[in-house]
Amino acid sequence: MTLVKRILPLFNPRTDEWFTHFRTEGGRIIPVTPVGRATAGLLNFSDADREEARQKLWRAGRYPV
Amino acid sequence: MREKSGKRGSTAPWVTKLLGHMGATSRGLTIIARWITLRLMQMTIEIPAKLAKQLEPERERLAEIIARGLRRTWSGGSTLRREVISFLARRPAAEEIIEFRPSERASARARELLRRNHGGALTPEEEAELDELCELDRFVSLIKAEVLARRAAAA
Repeated sequence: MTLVKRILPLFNPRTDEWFTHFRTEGGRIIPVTPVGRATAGLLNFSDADREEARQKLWRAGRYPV
Repeated sequence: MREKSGKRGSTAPWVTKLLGHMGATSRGLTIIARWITLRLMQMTIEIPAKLAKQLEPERERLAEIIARGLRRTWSGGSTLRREVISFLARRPAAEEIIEFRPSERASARARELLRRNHGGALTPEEEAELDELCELDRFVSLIKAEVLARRAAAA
């Protein structure tokens, strides 16, 4: 991860469109904008347990919803 | 390991002087000097490059992360932990696992801890309890996801 010292807003689920900032590959969430990258890094979207759970839900046709 | 100033275990002149003024006993002096030495200690450790990369953004929080790693598991045992244990011991059916929800009491406790954590007001015990709740949340999420995946595969 490259660290750039810049202040960014985080993804706001009430006002932002999820797929503007992220895409998914199976259970992985891939941020596609600086806002997405900041949010994914801060909230640890790539946590192994979370990825595994999303991967299983994806296989069950339950992710993304 | 090395300290920011002076040799390991040595006492800075100003400390000796200060302690002299305080009339500290030699035993007390050793203890206080050791404490001060520890406070100033700098440590060089070798870690895998991958871990170093992960730690880079956490530079400011290294001491906190190490302290958290050293801490023993939360010994109190949260309400949620007991609920998960007795739920699984009842041998729930797949549908029941998917529907599992913590009790209102356990949820309220989690909300309370999260709220106070936001203000940075948790005791180390409560931090450990919150860590345990997060761990249980992941654990139960994984079980649910696995049940859903198996059910989909069987269908």
